Amino acid sequence: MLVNVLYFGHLREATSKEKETLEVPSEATLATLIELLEQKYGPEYRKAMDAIKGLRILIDGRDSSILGGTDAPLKEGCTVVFLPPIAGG
Amino acid sequence: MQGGYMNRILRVDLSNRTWTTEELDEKLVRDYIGGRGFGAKFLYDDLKPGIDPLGEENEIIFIAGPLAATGAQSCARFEIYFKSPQTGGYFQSSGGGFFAPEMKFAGYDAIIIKGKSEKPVYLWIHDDKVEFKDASYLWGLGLADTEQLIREELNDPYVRVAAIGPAGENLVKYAGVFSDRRAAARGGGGAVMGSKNLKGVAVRGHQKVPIANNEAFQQALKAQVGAYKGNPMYEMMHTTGTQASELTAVLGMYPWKNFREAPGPEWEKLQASEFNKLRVRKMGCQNCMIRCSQITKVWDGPYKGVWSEGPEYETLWSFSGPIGKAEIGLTVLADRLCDDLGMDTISAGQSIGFAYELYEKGIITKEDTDGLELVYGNIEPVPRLIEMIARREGFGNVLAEGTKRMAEKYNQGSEYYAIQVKGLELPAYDPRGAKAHGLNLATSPLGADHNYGYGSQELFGVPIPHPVDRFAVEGKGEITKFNQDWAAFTETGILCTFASLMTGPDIFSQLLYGATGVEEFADPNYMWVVGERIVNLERMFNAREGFTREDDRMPERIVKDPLPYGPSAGQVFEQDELLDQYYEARGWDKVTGIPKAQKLRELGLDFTLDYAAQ
Repeated sequence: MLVNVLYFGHLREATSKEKETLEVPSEATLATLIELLEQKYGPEYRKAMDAIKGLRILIDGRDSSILGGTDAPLKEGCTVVFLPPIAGG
Repeated sequence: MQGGYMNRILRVDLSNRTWTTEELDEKLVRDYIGGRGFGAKFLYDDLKPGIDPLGEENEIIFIAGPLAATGAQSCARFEIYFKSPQTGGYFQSSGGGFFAPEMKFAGYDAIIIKGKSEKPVYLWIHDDKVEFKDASYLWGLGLADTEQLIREELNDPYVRVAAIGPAGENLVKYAGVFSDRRAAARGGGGAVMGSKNLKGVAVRGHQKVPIANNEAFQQALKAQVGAYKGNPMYEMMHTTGTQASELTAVLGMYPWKNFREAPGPEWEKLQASEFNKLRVRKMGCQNCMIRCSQITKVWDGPYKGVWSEGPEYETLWSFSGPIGKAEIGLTVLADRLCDDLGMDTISAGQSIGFAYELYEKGIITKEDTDGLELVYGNIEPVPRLIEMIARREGFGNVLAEGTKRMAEKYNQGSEYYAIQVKGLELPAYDPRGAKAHGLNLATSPLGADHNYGYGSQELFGVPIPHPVDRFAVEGKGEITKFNQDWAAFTETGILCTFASLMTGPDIFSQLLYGATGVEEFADPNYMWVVGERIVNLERMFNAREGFTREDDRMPERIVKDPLPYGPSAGQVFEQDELLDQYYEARGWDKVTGIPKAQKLRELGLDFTLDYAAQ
């Protein structure tokens, strides 16, 4: 199935992309996607991800932390956002 | 008092040009601590119910917190308190910069001003002296010129000035009070000053703020600085400030075309990486290491050469979402204009955006708008409209009243999409996508003010007191109470909202204890009770004015129309269920939305019992 991925900040630099659509297995979880990104962009991706303190990962606009963390299931056409801390004011 | 406070309040009567000082009352300090606690108590005690917000009896109160100019981080904000001409209720607004510390150096914790001057004046407060200075030559001038000319007249570049621009003089309902390009913008405090012929307040002083327990204070300060440095929010605020559209955009909460839609890809033109290209310098308030403010300059395109300190997130949205077009240069120009003319960007942008929808629906035409074509996506009229609002010229005179009164004027069902609560326009978050954040906007006594109880759990994913699902309804009454009480807790010392999450209740309590020496303040549980007391007192101010549950209602568009697409698609604001939960969490009467006598007694607010729920 296809999922959309959005990057901001250092992850944008690590991938040289703002967004992309990726094919993942039909039973994929967030962990599956992160592994795939590591394969695609190398260990630098994981390093960049781990370096962002307070990184939020949203799946269709909801925090992955309340959807099961890295076990959160992905759905066909869903959007995953890797979001560094950002504030409104 | 041993420390933190200057132990002196200045009372000024502009009608007869007199002033007096009084000492701080010890019980007032213990029960309300300072900052917002003082503001709420002064307003409740001083103002009779039913007074005209633009009449002589209303007050404009400036307050500096007990931590201002002590060395505590991020506590230099000044706050103003008044009965709002925009909402008819209790109001407080907060601005940064350097004004509050200078008030303390001049020896005052609060400056309470009532009456009306016969001619335009500004107050010159320097140490023990108060002078009424002629401001006729300043009337009509923008904020930058006003501040500069006052400093020149007083021959002192270090004088701090809080003043109004033409918007305040012309009683624009959402005119603000500004100091060093920082705004206490919301609710019409500028109009209150304008109604008093008070152009500004200039302060300068040479006193030192005493610290009661320096060892405890320094220890708390060290902990505060350490907490900042270990927090990702600090890095982000220090680097980009709030100049970013992406947070609410990826949550589907960046309102578009008067809250009718979620944005398409337009938001990408206003994300942090785009503002990075415009940033030329950082600025900060007195004694704040965050330095979140950004000077931006437009380098090319139709707005080339324009610069501003900002725009902050709310402003970059206010001049994109409501008009359905994202042009970064316009957001910088609009910010600059509003700062100089002296008005709130949120209400200005929303009033303009509301007019665009009225125009689209044919309720108003070019005949009404002085020939301006208010078609979504057409940004050309916006700078002109901002000027017209501030000077109440032509159609600007209508926009200057805000969306609630505009809907009353044009009627034809437009109240449905006048996006305001209690007359105050909603800020840059669609409440359908974050129920606790929305519940705060609905129930705040100020109207739709986000800082009254920011839903940081939903917006930032902050897991305190626990993680929440932003779409869930259950439990949002409790969370909203938590957020509102926390904001009141931290505003006793006027700690900046951005810094409050990083500082936390334990460190903040220790800072207050160390500075003031008041033992009770060292206990966060005591502070939580004071926070709740303040929120209840503010509610009772409005109850005395006749506000009820009916005034906590969101615009019908937010309640009835699901968001059509995006990450919050299908969501509405479940108003009745959310309000019931909130009143229950607060111990307030569900039918009227007014605190019950038992709750008021529990909080030591017996003097408000005449207006308690029956």
